[in-house]
Amino acid sequence: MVKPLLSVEEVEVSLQLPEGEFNALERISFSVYPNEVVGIVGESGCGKSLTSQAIMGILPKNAIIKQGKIIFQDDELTALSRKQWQQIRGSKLSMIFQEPMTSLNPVLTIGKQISEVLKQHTTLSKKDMKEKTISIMKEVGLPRAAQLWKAYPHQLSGGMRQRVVIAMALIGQPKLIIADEPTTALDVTIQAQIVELFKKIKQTRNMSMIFISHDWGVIHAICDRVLVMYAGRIVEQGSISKLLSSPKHPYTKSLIQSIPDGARRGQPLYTIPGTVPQLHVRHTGCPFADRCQFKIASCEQIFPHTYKFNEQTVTCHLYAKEKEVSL
Amino acid sequence: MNKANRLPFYLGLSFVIVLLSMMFISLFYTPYEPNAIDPNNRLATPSLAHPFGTDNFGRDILSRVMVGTQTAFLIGTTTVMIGLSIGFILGACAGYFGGWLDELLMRFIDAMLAFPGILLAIMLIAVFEAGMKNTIIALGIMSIPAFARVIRSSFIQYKSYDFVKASIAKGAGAFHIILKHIFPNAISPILVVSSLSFSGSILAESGLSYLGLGVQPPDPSWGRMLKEAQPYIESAPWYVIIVGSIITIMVLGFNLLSDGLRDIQDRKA
Amino acid sequence: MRYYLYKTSMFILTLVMVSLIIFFVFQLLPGNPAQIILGLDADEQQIRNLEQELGLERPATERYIDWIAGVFQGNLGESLRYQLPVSEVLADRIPVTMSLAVFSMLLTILVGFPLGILIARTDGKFISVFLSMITQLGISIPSFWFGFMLILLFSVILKWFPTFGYVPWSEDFFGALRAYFLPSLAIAISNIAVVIRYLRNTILDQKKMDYVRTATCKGLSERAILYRHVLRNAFIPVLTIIGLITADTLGGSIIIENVFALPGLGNLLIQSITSRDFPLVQSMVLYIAVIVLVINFMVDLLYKLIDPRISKRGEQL
Repeated sequence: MVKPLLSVEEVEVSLQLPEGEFNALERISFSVYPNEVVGIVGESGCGKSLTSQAIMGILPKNAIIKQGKIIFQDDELTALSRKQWQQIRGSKLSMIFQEPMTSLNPVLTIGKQISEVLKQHTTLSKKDMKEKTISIMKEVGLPRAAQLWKAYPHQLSGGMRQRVVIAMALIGQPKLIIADEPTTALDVTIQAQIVELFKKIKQTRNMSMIFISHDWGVIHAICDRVLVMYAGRIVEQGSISKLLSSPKHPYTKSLIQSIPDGARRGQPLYTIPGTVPQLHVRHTGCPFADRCQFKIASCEQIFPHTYKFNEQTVTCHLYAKEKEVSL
Repeated sequence: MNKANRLPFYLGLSFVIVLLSMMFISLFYTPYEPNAIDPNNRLATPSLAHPFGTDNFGRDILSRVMVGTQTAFLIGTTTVMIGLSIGFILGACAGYFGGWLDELLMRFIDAMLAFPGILLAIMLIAVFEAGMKNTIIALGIMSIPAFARVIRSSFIQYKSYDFVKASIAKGAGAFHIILKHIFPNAISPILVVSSLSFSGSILAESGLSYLGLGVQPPDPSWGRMLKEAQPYIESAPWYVIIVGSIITIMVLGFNLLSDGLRDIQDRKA
Repeated sequence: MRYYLYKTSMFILTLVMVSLIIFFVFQLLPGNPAQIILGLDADEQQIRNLEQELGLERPATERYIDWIAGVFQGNLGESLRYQLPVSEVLADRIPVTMSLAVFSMLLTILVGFPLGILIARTDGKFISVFLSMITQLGISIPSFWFGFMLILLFSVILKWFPTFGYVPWSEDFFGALRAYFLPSLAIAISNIAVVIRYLRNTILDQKKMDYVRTATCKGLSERAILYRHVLRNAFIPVLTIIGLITADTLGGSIIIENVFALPGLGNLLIQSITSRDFPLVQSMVLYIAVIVLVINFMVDLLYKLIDPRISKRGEQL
């Protein structure tokens, strides 16, 4: 059995809001294995970004990890000191954000911003740093790297900026990269190029990735395994092929049903009725109950158990009879 | 957390209210006749009879400070009115019509701002003569740029909004659009600038009067009181301290008020 | 290049406007300047003589052009009171005002910047409100009264500094330093408060930006993020404030020189107004306004140096 690179165990994160304190993540557990790409899907407000921020240790000030462990390699991340965090971030663990327009510093050159990671984590000479930076810029598909070295972010297009952000995440040769909707803010054609880049990175680099997206096409192209999140919980997880061919949770089914599909051309696109319940109106039962087509009596009162199938786990009352062994 | 945020606003408001009531009281009653000279009681230290002491002519400082609030409020109010009315016309024209007119008016405003501090007022008073009326005119002109700028930007901002565009498309006249759509939305930034301009005028008036270029006797003025108090800074320090503190409280009151108004405005946005 | 061209033409246009305002106020607004200078009890002959001396019988446009042409040749006219060329009268006074302004700006920057940066570390609700009120107090105090208070504390009570008494730099360097210290501080106090307020707010705003999160994820320390990333961005808007403060410093020196009896431009300005020396006043006002415009122009040019978004706009790669 391979040891997981990252394991998130029963993590609970609460948010302090003007209306009170609410649990935004409830007992999240999952693992990421070496060289594996794990996707997280779900609508906005389901806790995808909060999960990534919890792993990266950059939760907003009003959020706290109430319980649970996040173990990365041999470190328990929730117990790290500020100094230890600084050593891990950028070198072993790095992150790519959604907004390439704002995630770069507008007054520093591209070269400086990428090589800053090396300056922080290595003792390379200036010349070596520049060489390494330029080679990584070439790797992520930035043309005329030597010229771009002296450019500022506003001179670059959105797609090029995202490549710069990716180069910054890669240059420290991390073991795990968290990409939070890295293609969402881009034009469709650029999206495809960036997805290609991620595929290439996956093949050539020896590392794992957590890839957050609500685009099944992107997830399908890159990920090995997928977690489906709903209202702060993981409701289903499994390999990408299994989830797409035989989704079990009604939420996953609806999500997949709402993917535009050439075969159903001419028919109205399926949309899930209702919205993700807000933090302060969540009840004890299954949070998806109000929007679920297959709702049964117990759904509104009792939170379902998690049931395990071959390569799939699902948290739903519908599978209680089908599977007598609950986890 | 909102409570703590509003503290400065309420503090400013209470300063202003205290001084405002002092002004109203002074219209009917002052402990002594503010100009009554008492040669036997010169530069008396504060006491029950004279809570703020007496000045170099034996006049009651409290009474004089109270009467001074009248001048301060008069100057503040009138300069804001002058600045607002002229600034509104300039800013509205610049913002509404844009183009070369905007460019020209803005350069004119820049030119006015090139006279730092009270220099613009000093220049006008040098040509005319010192006194209450000219001080008001000079300070009123000095406060035009701030109003013109904020009103211009409100106009530019609201002109681009859809509801205003729709109104223009429907063929509504410029006057109608300004009155119905733009002005109501510009009120809160105007209030902020008014409050700031009010305190600025009081500060400027005290400076001008200290230099002998502002309000002239017999009109009461805090700035001139400070000029009169300066030679006695060693022998009667309370005189200087009290009068200066009153000016500071008044200016601070309106500045805090303006700050609070801006916070409220930002939260609405 | 277009940026420079635009800014330069705006600078020149504003300069022209300023000179027109001054000319209008001193030459046209009073009706007959000679009458104003001499007062109501002057007789016809005196007025006519002065009109001739000032060249008032010529048309306004001609007088304006002559004035501007004179300014470019360094000829600012003649002072009525001193019977000397204005440039000569000003030559003695300018160093005093400039020393005061430079000293005061140094104080503002040396005190305001470190304090602003230090205070930006705290962003609690309570401390924010408290700081906001303290700095607002600094802005609200009349500078000349603050000057009195400094005199009272440091000269009268502690006896550390001379109350009055100007010492030129050439005579006694440390004496001059001492003589300039209190007046500079009196001018600087409100500017220090402005810098602290503005710098702190800008830094706190910048800290919320996405690039700070990116920098955190690179493993940078908070210190490195502040100095390498945040401050560079925060200084850009602060530069505008520096331009305004420099103007304020010159404006403040007009009053403060009179409080501390420093023989600078402000001191001369008030004396000249009292003695109705119009040509001198007119030149001094022009001189001060031009300095302010030049400083603002330099700030505009500096922007281009420190903000790459201005200098390389349009040059897409």
